[in-house]
Amino acid sequence: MSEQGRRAAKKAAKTPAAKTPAAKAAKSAKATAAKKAPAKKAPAKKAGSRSAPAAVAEAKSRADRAAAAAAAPGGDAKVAQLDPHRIIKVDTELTTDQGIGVEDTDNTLRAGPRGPSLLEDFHFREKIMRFDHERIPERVVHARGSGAHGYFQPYDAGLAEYTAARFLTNPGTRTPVFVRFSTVQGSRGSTDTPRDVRGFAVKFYTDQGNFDLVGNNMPVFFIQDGIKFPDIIHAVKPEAHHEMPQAASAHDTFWDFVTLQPETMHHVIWLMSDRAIPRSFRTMQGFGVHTFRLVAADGTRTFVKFHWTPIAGVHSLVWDEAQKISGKDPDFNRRDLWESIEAGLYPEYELGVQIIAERDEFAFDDIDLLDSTKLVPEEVVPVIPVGRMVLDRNPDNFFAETEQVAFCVQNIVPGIDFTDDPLLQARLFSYLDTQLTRLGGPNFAQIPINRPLAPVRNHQQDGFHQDDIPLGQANYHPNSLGGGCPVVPGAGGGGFVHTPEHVDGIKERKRSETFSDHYSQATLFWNSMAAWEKEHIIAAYRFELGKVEHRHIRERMVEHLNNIDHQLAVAVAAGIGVPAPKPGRPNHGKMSPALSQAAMPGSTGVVGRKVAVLVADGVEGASVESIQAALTEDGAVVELLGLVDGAVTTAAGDALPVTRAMNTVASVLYDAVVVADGEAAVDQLVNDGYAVHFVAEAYKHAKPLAVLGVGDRLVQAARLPVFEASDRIAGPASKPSAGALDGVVFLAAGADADDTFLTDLTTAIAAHRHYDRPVDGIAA
Amino acid sequence: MRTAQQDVIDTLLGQHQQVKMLFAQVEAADGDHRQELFTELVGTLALHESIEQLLVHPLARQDLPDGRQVVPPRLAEEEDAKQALSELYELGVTHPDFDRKLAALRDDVTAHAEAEEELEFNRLRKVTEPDELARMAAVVTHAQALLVDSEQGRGALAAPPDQVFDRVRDLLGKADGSEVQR
Repeated sequence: MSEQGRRAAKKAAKTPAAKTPAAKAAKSAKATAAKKAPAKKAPAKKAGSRSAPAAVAEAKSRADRAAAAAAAPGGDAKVAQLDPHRIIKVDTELTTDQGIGVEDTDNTLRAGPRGPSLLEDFHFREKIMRFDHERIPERVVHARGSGAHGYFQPYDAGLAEYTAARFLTNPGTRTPVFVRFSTVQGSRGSTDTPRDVRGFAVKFYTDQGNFDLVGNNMPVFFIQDGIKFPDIIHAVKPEAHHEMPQAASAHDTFWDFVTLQPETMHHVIWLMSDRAIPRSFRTMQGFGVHTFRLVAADGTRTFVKFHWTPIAGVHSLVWDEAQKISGKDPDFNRRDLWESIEAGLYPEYELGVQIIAERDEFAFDDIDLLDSTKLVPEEVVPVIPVGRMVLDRNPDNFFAETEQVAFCVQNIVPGIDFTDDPLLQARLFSYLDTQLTRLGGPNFAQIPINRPLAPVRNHQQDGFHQDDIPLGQANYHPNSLGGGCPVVPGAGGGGFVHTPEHVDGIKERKRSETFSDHYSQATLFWNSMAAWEKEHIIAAYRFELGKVEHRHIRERMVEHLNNIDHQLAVAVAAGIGVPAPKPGRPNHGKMSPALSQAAMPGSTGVVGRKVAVLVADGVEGASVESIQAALTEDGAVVELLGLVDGAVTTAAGDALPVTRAMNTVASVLYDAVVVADGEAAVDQLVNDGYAVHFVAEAYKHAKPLAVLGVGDRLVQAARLPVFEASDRIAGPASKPSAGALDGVVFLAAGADADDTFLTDLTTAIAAHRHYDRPVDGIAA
Repeated sequence: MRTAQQDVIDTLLGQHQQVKMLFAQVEAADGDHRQELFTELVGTLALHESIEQLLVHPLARQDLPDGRQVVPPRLAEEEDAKQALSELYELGVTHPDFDRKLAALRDDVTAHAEAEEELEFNRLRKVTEPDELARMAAVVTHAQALLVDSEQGRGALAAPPDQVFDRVRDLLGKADGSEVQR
C-alpha cells in the first residue's frame, strides 16, 4: 500500500462507525427503520490477519512443491496387503467362530421358556466369552488416538548423498504409511482437546522394512534421560489417590514434579502455548524430537532432525473453546480427521530435515544435539524440504488398525541410525517392551496393520497367536537341512549395519555438563512468540497454576519463570496470588521467528474450515445461498443452523433446508459464523439465547464473523464492540480499538453477496483467527 | 557453525509483538503490577524507537527508493507517541482518563507498527546486506546488556519517559561504537 493509501485507510479507520439505526428506533418502528436505513457503509475493517510476507511466500512454495509431485505407484500397497484380512458381512449368514450356522441369537437355550439356561449352549457361551475379552490394555501413554492411511513420496533424490534409505530418495515410488495422532495423558475414551502434547507417529512400510518415526507435535521433550519417564508420566497422569483429573496437567503432582526437575521448563512452556490445543491434526506440526542419523551408502553419517509441516498451516483453538469442545464434542479432532478424509480433503504434510555434519557436533554454542530438551533453531540450521505425506484413507476398523498398530522407535531401516541421546536409548527398550503386554505376546508384528511389506523370514517362532505356518525342518542358523536359508544378507547385501563408532567412557550415572542449561531455550521460545501467543501463554500458566492447591509449588514455578523472562514471571505471579519476583537473570534477547505459529499461515485457504450460517424463517435466501455456494466451491464445509431442524421458509417463500438445529451444536465446533439477513429471521434469532450466545462466543474466540444486512441486530444483542462500545457495563469501552473489526465483514441489507464481499469473507476465514479484538468484556 | 544470525528486523518485529502484549497487559492489570508493566512499556518503546531512529530509519532513508517519503511520517508518529507516553506518565496509572488515553495510544502505535512493517522492514530485508542487519542486531543486544548492567539499572526506566528515551538513546549510541564486533 502506498503512503497515501495508508493515510486514507488510517483516516477511514478513525471515522466513527455508523450506529445501527435499528437499535435507536422505537421498538414498534424497529423493522421499518432498519429497512429504510441507508445502505450502511461498512466500517473500515481488516478482513484478514496480517501474515508476514515471508511466511506467506514459504507456505506457497511448500504448496507448489507438493503440487509438482508426479503420480507414482506404490502408495496403495499396504491397503492391498490388508485386503485379504477384510471381512465383508454383507450377504452372509451368522455363524459361530467355528463356522457353524446359528439357529437363534436372541434367546439362550433353556429348559422351557421360563426355565434355567443350559451350559451346553455353545453359541451363548462363545458369544459372551468373546464379549468379555474384547478389551486389551490401553496404552500407558498416548491411549487416546486416531489413525489414517496414506503415503509418503520424496520430491527428488536430493538426500541420496546422505542416506541409503530408498523411501527417502526415490521420487518414483510412494511408500504407504499409517499415521496415529494422539493425546498423551488421558485414557482411551478421553477428550480430544485437553491441554496436552500430541503424538504424531508414522509407520512407513518401506521396501527395506518398517520405519517408525514416533514423534510429537512439539520438537522437545520434558526430560533428558528416559529413566525419568515413569516419573514425569506418573506426575502428569490422574493423581494416584483419587484418579483425578482426567486429561489435564492442571494439578499438583504435575507442577510439583516439573518445578523440581527444571529440565522440563522448555517443554512446559510449549505445553502452555497454543501448540497444546491444535485446531485439527491437519494443522499441527510433527517432530522426530531426537537427533537421529542418516547413513549414506558409503557409510558416511550425518546428524538429522525430522520435521513435519502441515500444508494447511499451524492453527490452534483458544483455551476456553477447547474446554467447551471437550463437552460438546469430545471426538472433535478425530471427527475432523475422519470427515476430512471422507470428503476427499486429504491432510498433507511436508517432511523436512535439518542436516548437521558430524564434525559440527560440538559447533553449537549452547545446544547439545543429544539433549531432547533442546531444539536447533531453523535460522541456525535450515529445514530442507524432502517430500510430502498425504493421508487419503480412513481405517476400516478402529480396533484392528488404530488400536492394534504398534509403533516402535527401534524400527529403522538401512540409511537411518540412532544417536546416544539417552531419552532415545531408553525408548528403544520401552516401546518393544510395552507392546508385549498390550498386544498379548511376541507375535504382534504379524497383526495385519503391523506387518511389513518387505518379506519377513527368520527362525523366530511360536508364542501366543502365531499366525504363520513356517515350513521345513531347520529352525536355526546355521543350517544345512534348510539349504542354509534364510541366508544372512550381510552388510553388502542390504542388511542393516549399525554404523561403526568408537565408544569410550567411564561407567557412571551422570548427565553431561552440556545438558545443564534449562532456561535459555524456554526464553528463546518466549521471545519468538507473537503478542497473542504470549498472552495465551501467560493465561495458560495462570490457569494451570491456579488449579494447584499447594502454594509453595506455585511460588517455585514463578521462580523458574523468572529465569525464563522476568515480565512473564511477574505477569503469571499477578494472576495466581504469588508476590512478584525481583528481576532475575536478564533475557538474552535471542529469537527464532520460525517458532511462532504466525510463521506458518498455510496455503489451503478455507479448505476444510467449518462455517455456521444462522438462519430462521424469513431469512433472505439469496445471500445465504451465494455464500454457501462460494465457500463450498472453495472447499469449506458450510452448515445452515436453524432454531429447529428441517427447513426454514425464506423471505421469498421458498424452503431452505437446514443442516441441523442450533442447539445440537455450538459455535466452538465451527471456524466461522455467518448471521443471515432478513427482518423476520433476525427477530427470532435475537430472541433466542443460543443464537445470541453463538455469535458472542464466536467473536470472543476470535473467529471470522459475517454480518448480512439486518443480521447486525444479532451482533448488537450479543454486545459485541463492533458498532458501538457496548460490551462493557463499567470501565473503559473496548471501542475504539484498532482490532475490534478484525475479521468481521458486512453486507448491506437486502444485498446479494458480491465478489468483493466473498473475497473479504474467504480472506477472513483463511486467516483462521483474529486475536487483536478486544474481547475481555464479552460474556460467552 | 554459529548460533543464530538474528537480524535487527527480527529484533524489531519481536519488539512490536512485545509492545502489543504489554499494552494488553497494562490494560488488564491492577496496582503495582500495572505500574511495573507501564514502566516496562515505556522502556521497551524507548529502546525500540531509539533503535529505529539511530539505525533503521537512516538505513531506510538511504536504501529505499521512497525512503525520503516513508521515513518522516514515522518519525512524527514516534514523537507523538513519546508525547502521549509522557502525558500518561503524568496522569499516573490510576487516573480515570488513563485507560482511554492508553487505548488511543495503543491503536496509534499499532497503526505505526504496521506501517513500518509494510513500508520499511519487509522491504529493507530485500535491499540491505544481511550482515549489516545482523551487525545492527548485535548493537542492540549490546545496548540491552549495557542497560541491564548500568548502575541505574531498572531504576532508570522508572523515570519520566523523556528521560528514559534520552538514557536509552545514549546507551545505544555507546553500543554502536567500534567496541561492537561481529
